[in-house]
Formats: sequence, structure tokens, C-alpha cells
Amino acid sequence: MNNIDIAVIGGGINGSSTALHLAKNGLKVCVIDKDSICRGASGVNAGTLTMHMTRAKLIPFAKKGWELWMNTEKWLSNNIDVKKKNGLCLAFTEEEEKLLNERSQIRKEYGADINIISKSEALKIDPNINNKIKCAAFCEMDGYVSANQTGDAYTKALKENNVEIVENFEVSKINNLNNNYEIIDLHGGKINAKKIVLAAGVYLEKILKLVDINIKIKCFPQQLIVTERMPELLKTVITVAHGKLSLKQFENGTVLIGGGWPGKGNIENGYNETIPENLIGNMRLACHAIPNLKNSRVSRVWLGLEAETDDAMPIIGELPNLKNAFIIGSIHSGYTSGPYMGKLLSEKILGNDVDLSLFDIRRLMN
Amino acid sequence: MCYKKEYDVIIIGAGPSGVKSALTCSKKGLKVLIIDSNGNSGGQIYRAPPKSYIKKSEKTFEENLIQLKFSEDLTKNNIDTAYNHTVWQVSPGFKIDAFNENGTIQWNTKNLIVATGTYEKIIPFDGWTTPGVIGLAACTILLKAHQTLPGNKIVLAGNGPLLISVAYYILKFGGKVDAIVDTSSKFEWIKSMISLIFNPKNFIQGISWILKIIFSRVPIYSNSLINKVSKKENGISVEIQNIKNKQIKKLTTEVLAVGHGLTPSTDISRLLKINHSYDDLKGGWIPKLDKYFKSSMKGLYIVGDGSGISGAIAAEEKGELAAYSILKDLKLIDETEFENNTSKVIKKLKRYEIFAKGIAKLNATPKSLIENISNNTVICRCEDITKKDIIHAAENGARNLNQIKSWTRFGMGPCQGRTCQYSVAKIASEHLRCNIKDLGYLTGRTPLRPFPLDKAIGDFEYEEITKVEAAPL
Amino acid sequence: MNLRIHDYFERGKKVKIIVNDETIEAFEGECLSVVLFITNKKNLRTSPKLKENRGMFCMMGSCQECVVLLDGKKVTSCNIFIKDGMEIKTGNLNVL
Repeated sequence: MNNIDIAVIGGGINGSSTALHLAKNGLKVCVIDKDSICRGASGVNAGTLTMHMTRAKLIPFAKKGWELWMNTEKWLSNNIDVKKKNGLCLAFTEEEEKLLNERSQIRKEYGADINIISKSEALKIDPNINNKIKCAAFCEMDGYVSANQTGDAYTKALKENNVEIVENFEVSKINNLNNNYEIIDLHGGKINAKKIVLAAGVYLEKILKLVDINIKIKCFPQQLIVTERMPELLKTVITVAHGKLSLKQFENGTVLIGGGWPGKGNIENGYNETIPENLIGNMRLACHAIPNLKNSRVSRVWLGLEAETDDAMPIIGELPNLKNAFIIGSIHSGYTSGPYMGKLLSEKILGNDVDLSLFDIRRLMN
Repeated sequence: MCYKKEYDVIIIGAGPSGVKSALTCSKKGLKVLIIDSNGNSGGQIYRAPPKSYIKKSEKTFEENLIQLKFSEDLTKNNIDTAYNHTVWQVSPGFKIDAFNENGTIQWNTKNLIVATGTYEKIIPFDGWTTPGVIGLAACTILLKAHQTLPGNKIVLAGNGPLLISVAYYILKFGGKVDAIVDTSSKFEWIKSMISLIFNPKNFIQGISWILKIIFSRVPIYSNSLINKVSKKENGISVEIQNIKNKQIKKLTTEVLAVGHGLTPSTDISRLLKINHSYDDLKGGWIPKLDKYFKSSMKGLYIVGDGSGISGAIAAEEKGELAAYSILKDLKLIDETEFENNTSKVIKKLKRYEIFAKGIAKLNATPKSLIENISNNTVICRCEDITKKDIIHAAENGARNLNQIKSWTRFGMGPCQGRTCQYSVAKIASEHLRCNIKDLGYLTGRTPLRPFPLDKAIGDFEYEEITKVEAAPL
Repeated sequence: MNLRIHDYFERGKKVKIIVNDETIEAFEGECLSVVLFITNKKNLRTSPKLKENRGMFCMMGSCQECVVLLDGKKVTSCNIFIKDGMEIKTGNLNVL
């Protein structure tokens, strides 16, 4: 493989979106993945596109990302299940009501169009929710994407834009030669590129070590639960005040229960395992929010690995002390903003004036 | 029954292999629990009739006698049995989570024997989803466990010894077999008969069954497959095609029972992420085990047909070997006793496996069966995924089964790919011209069976579930 | 022809169950999917995309094709045993 301008290490939505935007601007790009495109967290996460779970400071980015998701036919694919839904964030106790008010207010200050509504208004919007709620936060900017379809969609889009896809390539060494990076995998495979983007999700800590940067990336193995196809059980995307539930019904009738209830996972050997007590807790919370859900059967449970920095804020931008090396990752609740963050980084790489100071990796070093 | 929380040994599956290992362990004083989703011991092969059926004293048949013996032995040895319990999750260490009509339960053990048997391999064809088309194994269960003929007129199709056994029982119970459609040739049958010499009892039984079928003048179509089935007003229309000369014969019947051999149930071994290897003659993917059926995970054994298809007759020996291995690890038998006991069993098992290999050859999936699947045939029955969809994913760059699953939704329905994984792999490997091994297998996922949410959640207080740390703002 | 074989076992007492508003006779304790199959109620569920009829297939609780609604909940009929007065719904189980 010759004359690669930019090699992106990690083919999740962050890396793939960055690559796609760069390729659309005429650069020769290659995406490298240890497995295949969107087979990690990007392919298995809950796909919630919401403001209710987004960190306040990231709201402006999430709004842009949400717009991109709602218009995938323009930049990604016309064959991916993305739906706009109303988002309801529920409070069941007085304590939660207080929390919801506080949190919604702060998110609102950062630009999210979230409003607190009464119990009766909430029940009118979605009669399926538990009538024991105290109140809810409402936001029209919500919805979902079927994460399992992203592998297919991004693979196709990358190919159409002449991005080289190198799968099953586990990077073990990065040599910084003069104006050139040499990327080597476990089996001695070699790729040369003028610039590199590190977008390896939970594996960023390991990849950063290859360029002598040591920071901590936490890994959260999160459980996801899906029911079999059901008649309409909910009209909205449901979240709760403390953020430990996401609930949505896909077009095909299956209901996805998420919320970041942990399982066990080992990023070294890829082993993961569900924790039955946490599954039950997550299911109980879901059935508490939507009582009729208890008439369904769970058909599958799986895990995804979420990456988080020490301050739970993303790292996006140039790597210090290295020329032509960039990073993107650890975007908390990053699915909503992911495509936009990729676009932003691509603009930075292309030399445009983009402010990424909020995400500078140097804050996490030392 | 009042269960303990912790057992010395837990066995999942009360078929011949599970029962034998339970008996062997309990004879040395171990506290054993055996779990099964059915209402009794026996597994699928010796499946017990429903509880409400009361045996008439005078008449019986062999499978029922064996099952009764299992029940009696388990009771005599004070082995705890958890029937009607469906295991939905197994975690290392081991925690076994199950549910029944009333709710959920969790057991712990250091030694787990998985004896969950097999599923039937049924290669799709046009119209195989038509109601009235059932598995050959399903047909056996109807006959032997439920004492019911599936219909007034039946066509049997597929391959292997189950064809003969099902035909025999239908005739014995007074039913009518319209035709037997076998992908194997008569020559292949004669070749496999040679291996039957290693098992004279089954050999004689087999011959007597074949004679009954011949005397009943059941038409046998060798070297043939089912090309197409369609719904008719009073039954189904079946199109039989000769593999060699492509000639087609149509007939109308009520029920078609079809099966192409068995594939090991690897749900639990895949969930626990032990290594597997591919062996078509053993039914497909099988867990990697030592000669005592011990896996690479401490305390985990996989016995019976789940360790590779070798039939009911070898199942007991596998269960026994695993039990001896546990007894040795727990120092309840010494090295000499272990060697003495196991060497005899291993010898017997070797003989049975030669026999099993002969049978397996009859069940090998002929290429023509895969080639005959048309583009619009549904492969994944749960999600209505066709052959075309699978090929489309492969053409777009999907290179392994998990990727094909993610892109097409095959295997995402309630059966989790148990019914179609084998066929999807065959179709994809044919299309990509790659080795079936390179496609891998579906990652094991919980719940092992669809898990009713009302049972899962039970009764709870809201306060109990919200002791969670709020997500960062 | 009676498809039930009575040579080896006595069945439970005769009871009635309701299948989509139609009453059918069966013996207590018989397997639901078997009773439906031999009384020619072979269409149990409707497939999600092609809307095809599907019915009993594996009889081992594996394939999930024999699901019906029992008291409004999805169950695999191959491991349900008949009780007097059971109410069963078949057909498009996703449109209740």
C-alpha cells in the first residue's frame, strides 16, 4: 500500500467518520482495525441519540452530531435504520425530580431544548410509561440508530470513497520516521502513512503507549438487553434522571434496554461476561419505567466496552510532541456526537481553524 | 423440591450422558444436582412421556424402559433433580441461573458437567417453513414421547439412521409412510453397514427395522432430496428430486419430516468462551476437550453429543469418564482406581466411535443440498433472512459469521441462530470459496433461551434497584 | 384415523381448551403443540417480514417456531401441557 496520506487506527464511528470526511476532501486514507469496521463498541452499543444523557459541555457537539445522524443519506448511507423520536427522561421520586430539574437546567444552558413537563403531559406523549412518575424532561431532539448496521453502512461508504480498509490488523508498533509513520502489526504487516489518527476506543491507552504517551483510559464493560419483537410498547426514547436506563423500541419491534449496567470484561484477551444480578437490575428498572414490557421475553444480551478518560471528557486533536499525529476518542455518551467529532477532527487535519481546546489531551498528561 | 444453593457437581441435561455422570459422582458421596428443561430424565433420545400419561402395565418399548431405569436410579441415589428448569445463564466459577414457572433460581458449583446434547441439522429448501414440515427428531419425539402420529400420511426425508428408525415407529404405531427420501445412495448405506459390525446389537435391530419397511412396501427414493414444498388445501405438496438425473416426482401428503443429522449444542461452551474446533463428521463446531471430556476451563466438562456427535450409545461412557476425572481431582479415587476404571471405558468408547463415524458419513451434508437452496429461500426462520441476504452481506465484505449476523440480523431472533447457523456457514463458505472454519462461529450469548421478563424481575421495590451511581453530568 | 396411540399409556381426563375462540377437546397433560398439530391448527405464528405462517418444527424448545400466546404471553407450545380451559391465541402475535 503506497502513498497513504493518513492512516486511521481504529475503525469505529470516530475513526471511520474522520476517515470518511478526509477522503471526501481528496486525501488518500486507510482505516486499520484489529477486527473489522464497527465491530467493537460502535457496532454493539445502544445507539441512543439523545441530549438527556449527554454531558452538558458536549451538548453543542451532540446537537451537530444528531443532525448528521438524521441525515445519513447525505454523507453515509441510505440504508441504515435511524429514527427521530421524542425523548422523555423520567423521575420517579422527589429526589429524582430534583436531580432531573437541576440536570435539565444545566443542559438547557448549554443549548439543549429540554423542558420539564408534568406527569399528565408526559403520559399524553407516551401513554406506555408508568403513571407513578413525578415528572419528566422532554426533548424533541432524540432518537436512535441501529448500531449493528453501522459496520455494513460505514464499510460501504468508506469503499465508495476509496478508503483502504485493512481489517484483522492489530497494531503492535508505530515507528516515527522522517515525515512518515510506519505502522506494524503483530504478524509483521507494515503500512506507511504521512499522518496518523489514533481512534482505537478502549484500546487507546495501549496504542498511545506505542508513541510514548501514558494516560489512563478506563474501560467500562456495559451490558445490553434486547427483547423479541413486540407490538408497540413505547413511542419515545426513555431515559431516567440518574442516567442508568435507556429504552427504545426499534422499527422491527424489538426493545433495547441499556443504561450502562456493568458486566465484566478484559480488554487484553477480549473476554467478557455478563453479571446476572446487574441484568436483573437493569430489567427491573426498564419494567418499572414501562410496565407492559414485562410481557415480553429477552432474546439476547451482549456487552460493549466503553472508554472513558479520568475526567470523562473526550480527547480530540493533535498529539503533543509529535508531528502529524492526531487522536479521537473517549467521548462520553459519544454515539450522538461521534460523526460530528470525526468531521471536526478532519477539518483540523485539513488545516482549518477549529477550536478543540476543550478536548486537548495535555490536560490528562503528567 | 428444596434445593441447596451449592452442589459438589451440577449437571445440565438429564440425557444418558448426564444421568451416567450423576450416578457415578453420587456413588462416591458427592452432592449432585441435575437440571433439565424437560419434566423428566431421558433427554431427547429416551424422552419421557408427559407426566399425565399413565403406563399400561402389559406393553412397552425399549426407550421407555431405559427412561424408567434412569428415573429409578436417580431417586435411589438421592440425586437432586431440577426438572422443568430452563438454564438461561452460566457464569465461570460456576454460577448457574435458571427459571421455571415460578421464577428464577441460582446455583453454585465448582464442577460443572454440560450434557446438553444436540439440535437437529436441517438444510433449508423451498417451502421448508411451511407448517406441516417438521424435523425428523421432532417426529420421533411425537411418536415415542407423546405417543402420537403426526399425520395420516407422512413423507420422511433427509439422511442417516433416524430415517429408518422414524419410519419403523410410524409403521409400528399403525401409521402410513408415503415415501422415504434419502440423500444417500444404497451403496453408501452398505458401506456404512461395515462399521455397524462394531455394534452388533444395533446392527441386528437396524436390519429388522429395514425389513419391516421393505415388507410394508414403503417407496424409497435414494440419492434424492426435497426440492420444494408448497401448501395444498388438505396437506402439502412435496417435490422430490433425484440428485443424479434431476428427475422430479411430485406427491401430496400431510406431513413432511426432514432431518440431516445432528449438530452439537455448543451454547454454553461458546458462552464460556472455551476454544472450539471444527469437525464436520462430529456435527460441526465442537469444544476442545481432553480424553476425559475436561475443557480448558477448570472444573468444566462437556459430555454426550454436545462434545461431538457419537450417538446415545457412546453418551454414557463420556459422562462416566468426566465423572471419574472429577472424582480423581477431588481425591475421592486414587490414580490406580482412576486408571482401572477409565481404561475400560475408553476402550468401549473407542469401539462405539468407530460405529458413530460410519453413521456420521451417512449424515454428511452433500454439496447438492446446499447448491439446491434457491436465492429466495428463508434461511434464518426467526428473522426471515434469505440466502440472497447472506450472499449480499458476503459480497459487501462481511467475512465471518458474527459480521454476517450483524449486517443481516440472521441469528438475532429468539433462537439465536441455533436452527440456521450451520446452513449460513455452509452457504457463506460456498459463496466466498473459503474454509468453513475461517468463518468462525457465533459468539455465545445469554439468555440461553428466551427469558420471560416477568419471571426475571420477580417482585421488587423501586428503592432496591436505584442504588446506582448517577452518570456524570 | 385417530392419531393418538393408546396402546402403551392411558392419557389424562378429557378437557377443553380454547384456540382463537374455537373450543377443542384434548386430554389433560398432553403437549400443547402436539394437540394443535394433530387437530390441524398448524399455523401458529406469523413470520416478521414475509408474514408467512409458521408452525411446530423442532419439538425441543430450541427453534422458537411454535410460539403462541397463552394468557397473553408468548410461550413455546412444545413445552406447555394442556390444562382445562386454557386460552390460546395463534397468528400474528405481534399485533395484539
